[in-house]
Amino acid sequence: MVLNLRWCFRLGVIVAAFALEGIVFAQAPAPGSLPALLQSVSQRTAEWNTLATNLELRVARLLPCDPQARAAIEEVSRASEARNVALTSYWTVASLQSKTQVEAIRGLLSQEGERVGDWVVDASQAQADVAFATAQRTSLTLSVPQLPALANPQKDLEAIAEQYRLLEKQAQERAAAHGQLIEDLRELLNTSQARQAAIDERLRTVGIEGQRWSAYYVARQARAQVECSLINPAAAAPQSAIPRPAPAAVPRPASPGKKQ
Amino acid sequence: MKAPAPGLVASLVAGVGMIVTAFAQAPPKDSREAQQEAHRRWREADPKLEGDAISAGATLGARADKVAAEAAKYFTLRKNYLEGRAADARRGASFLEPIKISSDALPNLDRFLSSQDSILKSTIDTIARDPDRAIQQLRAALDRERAAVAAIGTTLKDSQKSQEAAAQSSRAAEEARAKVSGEYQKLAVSLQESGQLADKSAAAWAAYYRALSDAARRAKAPVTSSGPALPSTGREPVAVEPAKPADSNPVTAPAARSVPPLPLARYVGAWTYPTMGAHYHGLQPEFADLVVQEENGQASGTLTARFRLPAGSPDNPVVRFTFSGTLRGTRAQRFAITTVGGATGTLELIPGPAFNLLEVNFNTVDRPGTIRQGNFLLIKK
Repeated sequence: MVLNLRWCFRLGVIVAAFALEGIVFAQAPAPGSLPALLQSVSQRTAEWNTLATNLELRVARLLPCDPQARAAIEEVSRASEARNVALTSYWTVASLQSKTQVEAIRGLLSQEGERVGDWVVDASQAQADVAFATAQRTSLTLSVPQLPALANPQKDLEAIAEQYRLLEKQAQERAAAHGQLIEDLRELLNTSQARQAAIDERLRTVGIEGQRWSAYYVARQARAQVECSLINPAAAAPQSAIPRPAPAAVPRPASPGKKQ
Repeated sequence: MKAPAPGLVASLVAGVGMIVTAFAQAPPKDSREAQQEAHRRWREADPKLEGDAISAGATLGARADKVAAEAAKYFTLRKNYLEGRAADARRGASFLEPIKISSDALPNLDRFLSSQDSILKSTIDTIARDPDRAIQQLRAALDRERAAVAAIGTTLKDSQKSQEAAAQSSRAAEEARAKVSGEYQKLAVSLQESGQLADKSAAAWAAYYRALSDAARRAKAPVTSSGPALPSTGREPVAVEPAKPADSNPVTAPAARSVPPLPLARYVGAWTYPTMGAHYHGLQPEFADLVVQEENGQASGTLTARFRLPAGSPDNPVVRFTFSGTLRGTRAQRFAITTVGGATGTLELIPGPAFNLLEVNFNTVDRPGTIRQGNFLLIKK
């Protein structure tokens, strides 16, 4: 009995785990899609932000030549780079999707431009068809007194003329809407090109931002090196992994959480 | 700076390629011309068809068939054209899928940067006057770090601006995209409806040509029971002598019987479906044999025919029936028929334009798996 209960409990846990996985999987965006890439950006940014804002606090508690200080700066630098890669991926994919759409819009605009006359011809042919069916019907009407059986095809023509009138109406609506479609496609091309330019600009600023942060962490690492060399010139160059004790006489910039 | 995954870029480049291919695969421009040409051929196939309905008689059937075939060709092309355009419109809408660009969660680093700057500045100020070379090296390092922090501050402002611009332009593009996408979807629906209507028109024209042909046949075959005045609605009833069982026809006295307006030889004898220059309406016979006998004004006989059915049709292509009835004083003779399967119906024999031609027109009751009507011209054996 106890074994059975345990077995049921385990089974329940497994089922619940699968169900949870299913829910998570169903909610996860497709890999490589913009939502998935944006999710990655958010994660990388959060990771980096935590490390970056705590860096000085961590380093302040370490001695200048402590290899953990250098490692801490490197860790933040790597997190910054990972965030930058995620951002670049996101905006690169956005740029490519946008470019693809701009090309598609150009293609559609060119296609619709070639079809300007087609819808008008369609509408006028539908009009001619209505006239033709009506004329045939009138012609048969004249013959019905001589041959009453012609009343049947005459009724068929009546139905055909009705269908043609509907076709004519649809064709006229399409001809009228086509001008608006071309106008709206032009507007879409303009706005899509503007979006493309904005995305490309964003991609450029992401690149510059990445460079700036890299430069900052290089400078931060260089300062740590100088601080260490002030205390222990021999240890500063190789920065071995073994922590070395050092006097705290060297003036160091104050950090949040540490008194000057 | 690392580049994004190459696979991702490759798939997007492939997307551009697909769009180029899709535009290249759009229906050829000449499909419209082919359609117009088919329309012209249909209209020019037999301009006098309707005008001749009163005088042409049974021969109008073949002419109507020819025109109906041209109409069918046109409507097939027309439907293909409309469906092609509807597919284009759907493709247009599919090219305009939304691009979901969102803010990339730029953290607020102003406080962090300003506090870093303050700390660096105060340290620099503290050691500024220290002549020690090592301390001056530290000062230089702090200066470089402070400059890097300042550069980040400027870049973040640009970053913020570029992100706002991207979000704003994306909203504008999305609005325009949704509008055009909606228009394409509407266009696709309209074209699809026109395609369905074209289908209905095709069926209506086919029915019209059949009705015209039937009506023309009546022109030379006066009705046996004179009908009432034409009804204002509904279809014109076709005058058909009610089918009677063969044995119910009373043998009428020679004096009382009516005589056909044409010699009996135009009806009686052995008739066959010609291998050359055959005429038919509806299903095409492969062969047909008809034997008609006459005795004391009573006609009887048999018909055996085999029809060419559309591929996959489960119907029996063979029709066999016997018929009998009284010869009447009309050009077209009608008889009650009984098929080997027991179905009943009517047979109409109409002398053709030449003495050795006889038009056969039969209808049987609706029985699944059997041919219910046939109309063709036979030649005397």
